[in-house]
Amino acid sequence: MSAWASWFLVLLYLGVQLRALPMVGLTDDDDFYISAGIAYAEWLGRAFGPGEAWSRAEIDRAFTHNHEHPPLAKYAFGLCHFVFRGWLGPIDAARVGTVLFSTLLAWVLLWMARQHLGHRRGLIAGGTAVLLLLTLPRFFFHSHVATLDVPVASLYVLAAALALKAERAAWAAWAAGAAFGLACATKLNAPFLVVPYVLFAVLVRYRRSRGADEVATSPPAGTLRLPAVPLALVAMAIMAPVVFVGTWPWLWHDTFTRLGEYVGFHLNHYGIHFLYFGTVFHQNPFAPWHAPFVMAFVTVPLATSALAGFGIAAAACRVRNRLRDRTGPDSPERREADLVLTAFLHALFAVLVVALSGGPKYGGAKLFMPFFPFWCLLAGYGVLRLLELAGDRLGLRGAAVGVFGLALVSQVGLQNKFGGYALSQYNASVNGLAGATARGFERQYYDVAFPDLVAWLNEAGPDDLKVHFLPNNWEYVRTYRWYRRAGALRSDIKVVRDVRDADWLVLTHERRFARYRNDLLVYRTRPVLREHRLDGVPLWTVLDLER
Amino acid sequence: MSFRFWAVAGVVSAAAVADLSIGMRSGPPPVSSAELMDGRRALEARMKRGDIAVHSPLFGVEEARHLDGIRTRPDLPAEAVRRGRRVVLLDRRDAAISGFGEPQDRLIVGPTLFVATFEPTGSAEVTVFDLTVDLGPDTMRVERPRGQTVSTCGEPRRQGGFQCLGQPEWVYAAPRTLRIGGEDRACLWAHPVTGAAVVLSIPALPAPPAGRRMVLELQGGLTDEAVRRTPGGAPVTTVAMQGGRTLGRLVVTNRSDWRRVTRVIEPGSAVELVTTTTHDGRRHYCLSARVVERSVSEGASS
Repeated sequence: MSAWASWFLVLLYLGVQLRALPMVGLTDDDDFYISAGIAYAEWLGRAFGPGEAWSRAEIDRAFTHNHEHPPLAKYAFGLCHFVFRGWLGPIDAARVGTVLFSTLLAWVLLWMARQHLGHRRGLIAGGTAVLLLLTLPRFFFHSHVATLDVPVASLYVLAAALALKAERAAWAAWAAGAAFGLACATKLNAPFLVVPYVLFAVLVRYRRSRGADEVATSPPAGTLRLPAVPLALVAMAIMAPVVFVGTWPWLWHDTFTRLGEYVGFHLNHYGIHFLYFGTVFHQNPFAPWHAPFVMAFVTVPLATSALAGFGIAAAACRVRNRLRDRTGPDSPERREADLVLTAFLHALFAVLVVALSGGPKYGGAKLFMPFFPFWCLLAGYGVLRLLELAGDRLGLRGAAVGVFGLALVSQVGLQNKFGGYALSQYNASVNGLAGATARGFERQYYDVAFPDLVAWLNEAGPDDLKVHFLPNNWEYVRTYRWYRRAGALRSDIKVVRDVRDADWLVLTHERRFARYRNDLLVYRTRPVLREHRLDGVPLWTVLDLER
Repeated sequence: MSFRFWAVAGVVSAAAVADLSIGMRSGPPPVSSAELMDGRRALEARMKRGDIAVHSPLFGVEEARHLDGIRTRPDLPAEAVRRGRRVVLLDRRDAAISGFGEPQDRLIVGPTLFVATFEPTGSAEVTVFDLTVDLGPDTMRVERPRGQTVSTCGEPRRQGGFQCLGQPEWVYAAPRTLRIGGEDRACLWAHPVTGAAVVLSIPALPAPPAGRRMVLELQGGLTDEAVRRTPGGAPVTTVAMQGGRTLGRLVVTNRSDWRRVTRVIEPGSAVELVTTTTHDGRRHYCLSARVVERSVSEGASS
């Protein structure tokens, strides 16, 4: 029964995600990754046929696109592009790849919960976690764009889940190694999984002192006793490099040079503008350490965080008991404690790594995507414990269901309000988008080419319309080409590079760009053709430059 | 047990209701034209020359239009700026900008808006003009020969500041932080042009209160990299002029150095900073110009 319910939830998750594809606009990264994915998929097609696909020249030609990032997610984008483009168009077809990764993540959460809480309890915790994840506005957005953040989160969670399973099943250790390799082959933040995993392994194994009833045994002279190393860690160490290099043909030649360039690119990553409490950060010193924690808190719907907090508190006793009894036999309580401890450590470190990295912090929540599924899992566990707190009293159990229902409705409400503008979503702790904007948070990022703006330009734009975007036009030159290619943008509408050539100007109100203030000064007298506001905050304004 | 249950249920429900209220509301409504005009009048009544005017970041273009003719900005000025400048704010009561601290004066304009004044948070020296803060589309121009404008620098640049139309891409006015004289300096990029004059204008400023005078602090230098990579590079000269009279001269030679000149200026008359060089090759020049009100007893010339 619970297996059927699990599959129903996963299919529901997939269906809702697919349905929402047309609602989410192109980001500036989609252009890079979809193009690269198409090139990689074309190479894959040639690789299994006659020809020189395996030659260095051919590999370099295909994989030079976007070689700053590993290829795994891009394979998915490219393959999905070719499989689904006749049905969904070139953009949404590629983005099915991200949806599939997100759906895999939902399945992993359910599996992980059922493995460690039992089928019934696991279905409640995992199922509610999946529903909460599905209705997190920002994660929902990222689940639809052809970027690497949700794919790496998905494989990260898979590797973490298998590593946890490996505490009790040797086969899972090797699967964790492979999954970890695939995660590393997706984005550079995957290797940081090792930190919370090692911490978990130490916490559940380390003995601080020997009790009186334990016999101290010394090794024979001339030998070295090594600590017990988890098999999963060994598997990761062995398999990850093999999978990483094996799936990335770009590294098959000049391996060490190109590996050095890959690491060097990210160590010296150019700064990206980030508005945080009224200050724009784009170079060293970058935003302060608390920025990712604050961004997580103000964007995750409050009910989810409240449930996660309760879940952590409710599990504290069980985790403490588990850590005190490291050598005891396995039991449902140990498995439960392991699950919560794992989820907590990974959620914490997903954000902590970004906070303490010393590198640029930007893009709202995109740099710590693995945080969200683990946080939802803790929230789902909180729902389970709330139900169990109600005991056998029907009224209280009904109330617990009602509370979860209310939490879900509040998230659906936020989702419904922000829709394709989910990167503008903030929760009530900062009074929504209006309060966040007044406090100096970004009202949007990613230079999203909103579909509703495209539709309005099609409808209202005169023939041969020339449009310019400020303050960051060049991203829209790239993304609008995709809309034209997909037939979503009228062929006579062009995004021009020089504002002096434009008929209409689209001012996206983004304070993180230094020129925005001057653009508003210079163009505020122009006639307004259309303005889009959300929560009372202007997000874009179309101005007539001809009059 | 029941108490714990209801406590948790209560907290989660309250959190959900709070977010639901965000999800269901339409958000703060736009401000009416009449109230915006009242706000503008209140802002103008409080503003003095040198003040920084700030408006709500929730203003769209229709609202910002009502402030046409007033240099306003939709954000909190940096702490370093607020230390020496007065700020006059026109903001929404339901979503006010945070970070300003307590105002010295606050007036409710209408159901939506208020105007507030924030005095400088720093010392008794008040900055009434700062080139990097008060840079506008009409601040810089290129003249060739002197007196004949060939380019106005009014095109907003992506990285901030303004590009000079028809000039090479390195001819622009923008606040930068550059390594000069071994230190990071916040200043205005003002690359000179061979055979031309790059002119920066400081508008006429009103008379200061009795017992105080206005002092121009002019500072500048070439970036350390430009000095290092251009042995024998030409000097750059900035002449401060007011009413046709030369107030002072800042001469920057090809050395890793940050030079400064201070002069008293007269109220009611614009000041021009005219920068020239004999050869503009890699003359990465950055200028800082502030006009401060100081007590008469404090020295000014150097």
